Amino acid sequence: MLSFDTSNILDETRSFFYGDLWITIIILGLVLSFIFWIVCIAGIICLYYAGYRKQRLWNKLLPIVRDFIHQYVLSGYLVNHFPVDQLGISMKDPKVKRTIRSILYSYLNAIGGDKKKSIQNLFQELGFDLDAQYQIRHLNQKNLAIAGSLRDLSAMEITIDKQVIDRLLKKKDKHIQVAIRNYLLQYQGVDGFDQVFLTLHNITRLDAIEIYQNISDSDYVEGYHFYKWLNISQQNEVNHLIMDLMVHYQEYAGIAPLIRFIKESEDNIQQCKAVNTLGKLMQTGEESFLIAMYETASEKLKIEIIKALGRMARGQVFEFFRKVFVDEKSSLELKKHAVRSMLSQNQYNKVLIEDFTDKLSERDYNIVQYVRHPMNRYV
Amino acid sequence: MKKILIIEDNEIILSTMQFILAKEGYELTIAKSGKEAMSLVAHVSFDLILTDIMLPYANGYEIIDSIRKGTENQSVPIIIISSYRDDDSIFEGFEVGANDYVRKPISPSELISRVKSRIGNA
Repeated sequence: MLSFDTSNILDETRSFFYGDLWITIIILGLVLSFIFWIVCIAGIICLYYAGYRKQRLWNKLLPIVRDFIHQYVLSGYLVNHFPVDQLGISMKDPKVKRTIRSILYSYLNAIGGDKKKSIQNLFQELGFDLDAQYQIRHLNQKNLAIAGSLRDLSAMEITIDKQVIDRLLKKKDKHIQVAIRNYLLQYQGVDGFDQVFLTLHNITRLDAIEIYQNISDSDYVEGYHFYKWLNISQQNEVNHLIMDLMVHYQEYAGIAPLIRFIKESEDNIQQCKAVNTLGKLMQTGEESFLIAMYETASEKLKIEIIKALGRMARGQVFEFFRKVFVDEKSSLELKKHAVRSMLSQNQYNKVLIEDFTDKLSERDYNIVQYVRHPMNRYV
Repeated sequence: MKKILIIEDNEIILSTMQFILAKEGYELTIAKSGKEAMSLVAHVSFDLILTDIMLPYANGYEIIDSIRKGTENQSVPIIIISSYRDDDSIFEGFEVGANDYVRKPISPSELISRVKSRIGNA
């Protein structure tokens, strides 16, 4: 027997379908979905058409600019004062202007040597430097436009006012941050490096990789000390970036600050990275410091210590590796790394290693053989 | 006339190299992909090959490797033209059999000097 409420709901539902309202709702739904699809298709067509027009304009303008560059930049002796009026292109249309700017930018990336300066001069003589300077000075411009202008000014190697740089460094937009960092790292030398590191907060690992690439691609300023930016209270990504740069530029002057960093830091990830850096810097003489750390270290840090010792030591720590390996408390991972580090010092301890492996139990010998096998080695 | 094969997919770099080398009087053949380059080097002999690394279908290293293992252009001088600046890329290029390495952006005078040092004037 249905309750009064249930039979009431059923009656209402039945009467709804006997009426015309549900047909109206269905028709309305169909019309709306039709409109939705039409709008989607129209949007896709518009995007394709815009791309097609852009490409068509590029294809139309490229031969004109290319012939001009071939005639006046690559063939002639002109470095500046190019007869830009002979290009025969009206720059009033913003789309034309944007396309020319983009073509010239591609040429800046294609032509180097003494002719690069000529392309930069041509860029300026067409007025693109003034446009770019205007855009970065006016806050009402779109962020993407500002980033594009920064990119142009970098390519033209034009100096930007310090005040403007300071203001742009405070902007939170990712495109602007990347563009201003690229500008500073590539063209401002030591001051640029300082400014970038001063403003590095909340960066992602990807940002750090980009900065690393930019610095390593730039004309590195000999004698710049990246280690001065090591700081236990800052973001891990920033410290990792600095340590990667220390390894890249073999900054031995940074060993003492790095050791201080390891001692002061309480963050296991930071410590692991710092020990790894110490190992990559192959700093012999720090073995006893690392061995002293080992007992109280976490499992991950222990692995990094063993790896670092394997890289840097010159045969002095064979006994340490042996102890780690035979220690019953050592995990299999630690044993594997101890053997690997031991074997990496084969040239110093050949006899000791042979003697050690001869006396091993079958189980331990299998671990050594496993690590020794070329197919099981870490890259 | 000396024959040079240019393997490059970037239109602007390609036209720039074409212009620079044609002005010096070299006979140029163009390939815009690894596939096109592979079929060309298998049948036509060249005095010099200039190749980029990043190419569609087959990269520069694979092309050089196949040239060195083939018969038609086995001993032809090969110059890599690439924007890669790291030592590993350069090292790998020489490992597979390249004779020289020119970095992008290309300096016209450097390109001419390197080509002339390998095959002389046109």
